[in-house]
Amino acid sequence: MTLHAALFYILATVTAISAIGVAVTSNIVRAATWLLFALASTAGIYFLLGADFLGATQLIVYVGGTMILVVFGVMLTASGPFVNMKVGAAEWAISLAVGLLLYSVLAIVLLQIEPPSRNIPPNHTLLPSKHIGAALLGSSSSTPEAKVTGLRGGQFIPRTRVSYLLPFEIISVHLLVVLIGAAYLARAKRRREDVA
Amino acid sequence: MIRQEDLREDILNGELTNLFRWFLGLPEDSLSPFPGLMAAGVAVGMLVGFVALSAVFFIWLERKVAGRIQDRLGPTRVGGKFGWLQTIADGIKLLVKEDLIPRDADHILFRLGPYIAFCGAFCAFIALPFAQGWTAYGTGTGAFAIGVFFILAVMSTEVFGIILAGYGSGSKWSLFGGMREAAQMVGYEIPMSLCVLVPVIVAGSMDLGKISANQAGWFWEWYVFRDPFTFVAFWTYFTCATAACKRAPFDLAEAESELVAGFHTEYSGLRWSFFFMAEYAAMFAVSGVAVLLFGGGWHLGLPVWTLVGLSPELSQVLNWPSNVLNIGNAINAGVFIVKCWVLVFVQIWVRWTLPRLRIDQVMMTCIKYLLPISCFLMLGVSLWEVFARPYLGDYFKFVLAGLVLISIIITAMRVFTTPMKLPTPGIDAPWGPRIPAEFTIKRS
Amino acid sequence: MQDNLAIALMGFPSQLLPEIILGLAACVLFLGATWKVSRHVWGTVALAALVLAGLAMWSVHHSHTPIENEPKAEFADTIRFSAPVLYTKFGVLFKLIGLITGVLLVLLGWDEGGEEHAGEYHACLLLIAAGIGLTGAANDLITLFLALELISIPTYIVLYLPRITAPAQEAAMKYFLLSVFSSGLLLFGFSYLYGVTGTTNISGILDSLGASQGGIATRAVPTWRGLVLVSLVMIVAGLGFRITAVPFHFYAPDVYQGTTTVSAGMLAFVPKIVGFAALLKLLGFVGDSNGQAMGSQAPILFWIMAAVTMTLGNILALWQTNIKRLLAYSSIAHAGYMLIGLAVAPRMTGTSADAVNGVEAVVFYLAAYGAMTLGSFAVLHVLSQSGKTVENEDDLVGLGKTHPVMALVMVLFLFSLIGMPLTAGFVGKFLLFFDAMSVFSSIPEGNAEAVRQATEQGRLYGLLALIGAVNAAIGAWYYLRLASAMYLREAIMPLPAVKTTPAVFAMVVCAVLTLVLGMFPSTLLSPIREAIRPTIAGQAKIAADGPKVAQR
Repeated sequence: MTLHAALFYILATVTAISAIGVAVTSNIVRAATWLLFALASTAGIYFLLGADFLGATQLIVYVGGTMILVVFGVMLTASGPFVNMKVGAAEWAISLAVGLLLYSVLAIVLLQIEPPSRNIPPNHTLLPSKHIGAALLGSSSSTPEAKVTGLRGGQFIPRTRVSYLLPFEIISVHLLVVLIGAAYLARAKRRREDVA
Repeated sequence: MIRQEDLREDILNGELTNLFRWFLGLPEDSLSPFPGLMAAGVAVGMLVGFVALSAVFFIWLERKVAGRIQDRLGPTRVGGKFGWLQTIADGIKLLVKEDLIPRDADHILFRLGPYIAFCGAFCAFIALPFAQGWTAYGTGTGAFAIGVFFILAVMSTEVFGIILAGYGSGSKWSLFGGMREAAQMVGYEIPMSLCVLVPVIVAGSMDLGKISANQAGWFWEWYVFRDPFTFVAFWTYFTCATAACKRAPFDLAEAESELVAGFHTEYSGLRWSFFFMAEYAAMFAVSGVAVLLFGGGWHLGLPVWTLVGLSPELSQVLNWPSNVLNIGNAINAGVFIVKCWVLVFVQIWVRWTLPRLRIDQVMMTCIKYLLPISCFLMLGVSLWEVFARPYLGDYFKFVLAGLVLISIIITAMRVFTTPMKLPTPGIDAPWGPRIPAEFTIKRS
Repeated sequence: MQDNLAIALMGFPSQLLPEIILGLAACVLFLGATWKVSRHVWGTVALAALVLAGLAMWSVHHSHTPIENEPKAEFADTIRFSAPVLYTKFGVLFKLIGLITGVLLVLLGWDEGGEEHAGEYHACLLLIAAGIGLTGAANDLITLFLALELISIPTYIVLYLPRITAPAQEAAMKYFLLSVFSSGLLLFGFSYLYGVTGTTNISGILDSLGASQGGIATRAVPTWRGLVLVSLVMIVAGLGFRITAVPFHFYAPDVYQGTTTVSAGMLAFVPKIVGFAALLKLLGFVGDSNGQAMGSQAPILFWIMAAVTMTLGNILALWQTNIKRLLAYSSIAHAGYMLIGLAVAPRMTGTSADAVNGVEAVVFYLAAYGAMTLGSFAVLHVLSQSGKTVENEDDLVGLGKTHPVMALVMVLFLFSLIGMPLTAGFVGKFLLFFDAMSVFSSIPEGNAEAVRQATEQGRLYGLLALIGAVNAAIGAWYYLRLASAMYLREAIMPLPAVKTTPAVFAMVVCAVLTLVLGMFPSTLLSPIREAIRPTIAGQAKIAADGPKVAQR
């Protein structure tokens, strides 16, 4: 077993156990903590694969942003000291059944895929951040290549860059709308308190 | 088998895996994970040792500086004249203290909080280069390509530990502290990241080693002097970084005047000291990032080493043995650490000089001032690089560096030439008249 | 590198000019609403922006060639396999639908909610209109998802803004949570699709899956076939929420009832049209492929969904007395009718240019459904504006005497929803059912096995058409019950007189559209055919134009 394999097994075990922990814990903040471990060890797997940028993004977006907001939200809205979700036996049974069903479907599907034909060593030639940024702007050809079948009589269709500049701009419009919506939600609440 | 000469070269290059292969009696192409793990263990041990030792030093420094600013002497007794061993004594006290967990606390979260906080702060050191190629991750093959982004990412996990501690303590003071910390951090991370982007745009890389290497040579090559935007970005970054380490005047999470001790009200003993280790580690880490991004990294600013021939580049040209290169690197690492200490000292200085803000003032500072400023800086530096630099060339940095140097000299001259007025006669000031003999503390 | 960057930055898709105008206008409204509180000012600005966007669309139409008409095949391929948005006839069609919907919604929402929210409300409507256009143009999974969210996110605000009552808040919350959940499913499906094909470009994905050669059967049994099927199910589930297909329909009645009439009308139409547009794009229904890109199981899935959705929607609608709930179940039932088209579509390609393909029928039905459902909600809204909220069946009693014109318009919409001749609904239903029936009649000649299979399938689709017909009859029962309440019963408390507001104008536009589409369906059908089957439509055009050219 190589070092990479050993680390992968460790991280995979942590991810799986934490994910189960998220599902079975009824205390919300404890579930969030389990989720933290699951997400952080997923980031670890990304690092192990040499996708440092992705791993760091995973950390900053989920661990540094989303998880903090989850706990923050619980702290702001909780009425008692520790918030627990009451889960009935029927709910347990249904969600367990659905979860296992989905899991088995995904597992069967994933087990069908043929393993990679050659033993790919972990690639540590990391892309400089400049290339990643340029690729996202669409000005570099280092975007992943599709398995273009090249129909039309065997003619090869050149896959050129895919630009994510436009999606980026659309996201900024989304955020504007979200900001305004959030402001309205917050303001409406305060007004009702004034009335009461 | 592994040859001894190769081993020596590897060790000097910081590659310890082969050493442990040899130690375990494994062949060179062995696939066993243990040599790698052991090499990683050595790196981790060195970093933990460094973090712990700097924490010991910073706690002493904090008390000493606080004393001086408040017109006191600070620790004087333990371990000689300056109280050198005060922190060790404190540490022993903390170790033997009773470890309490309140009955109403969420036990798991309460225990977990300090470790997550410490891990977050400590992980930042993985990507912090102390000198050319001296990084825990990515040694040999080149530094960590996205180092600064990684540091920002892992530093953001530190907050989670604090929030967990605040929430899990089951105490209202802790909860308030945790909530304040969450609100503050979610806000301050944004201007901090935007300010980090300013030198990243200039350098065209997120690799801290590369950014630092770009600033070699005279001190006007430092990015802080490069253009007006980087200059302002340095101060904005440092303000945000101070807030990110929850240091005064932004230490609303602790706020001992209102919240007892904020998020660590219920903590005692070793767990409490982990929070302190995390705080001082984070202070060093953000100062290190500031030094690497703006302050010339491990370069002294006066290219003495090049003149003496100890610079890594020159020693390669002269074909000097690699241990000379390592001596140069060790000196560079020393320069880097001293620079970081200076910035940590500034943080301590600020803490004991400025009063604490209110939470709404903290949030307003971030959202109304720091955020627009940092957005403007990022836009400005991009425009400067595209439009202004082709016309102005590199000359602006001489102007800025010269102005800063002149103002430092003027300030220093005024400070040292103006006679010191002592509020209480007889107590030693950092500079000023010697203490008359009758006022010195007599030791029996 | 440098010039590529310049191309990427400067070659910003000018074809999106209408959407950009709408987005900028939305920003103006968001900003302007902070210093001026007036529903008339902001309503007018929103209308002006929509008209401006329409003009921009017209100018773009003259300066751009749709990708299908691009003479240089290689250049067209380069664009098709890299651009995040494409200028296609399909996109133009949806852009037009988006703008018309935007105008109708702005007119309907003119008097909606508090005056202080008017700016934000209209801004959100403009973004929704832009989102419809962008969905039609999207050529990338990411752009497509963002376009769908560009509709969802303003929708939450539109649901929340006008009325802050407990049911309205519950409706907004319910819609928000379920919509986020469905987006999650959609993204899960997208991630598998990306994993299999290695690209986010929809044309590239379809090409990888061998869409134009009959779907994922590019290899005998590809090992990743399961991944594509999982992705198919997830995508259909995620979009099924938007088109209110069973079993993702359950939010609709509660949300429609809780929110305002105009918002309910919007929810009945806008998510449906973008949901179907996304399905058509992702599953390769547009163009030369046959909608089986993700496997031949797709039609079976749609068959089941269509049958269950229309039956459940119609049967549950029978018991409703609240008109908004009734229209919600009717909306579910209509989603079922439309799914017939998707189930049939793969069997209908290769048939003659004159026959209407199932997909074309779906798009036509969508447009017709938009006119009639927005119209019926508009009638309710106009009636409610004069003071008394019209919610229940009993509120409409005697409308034929007290408000003869309104009653007539409402009956027109109800007849169209039933599918009476001379209305748009009739043409839509006729095309869909006819398609399902004609599978049986188009059994190919050939070996016995193929004929047996085709006959089997023909029977299945005939059964689907039969189910559809039975459902149309059930639907007629509750629509006619409403009509009879208006004409055959006496009003106890007559509604106050109707005020002339912008909403009345929207109602009239919907009525005219319903009639025009019903009497002259080819005005819409031929552009739809060109958008869906450019090659076949092109051949047909050449065939039709040929003699004329020869005569000259």
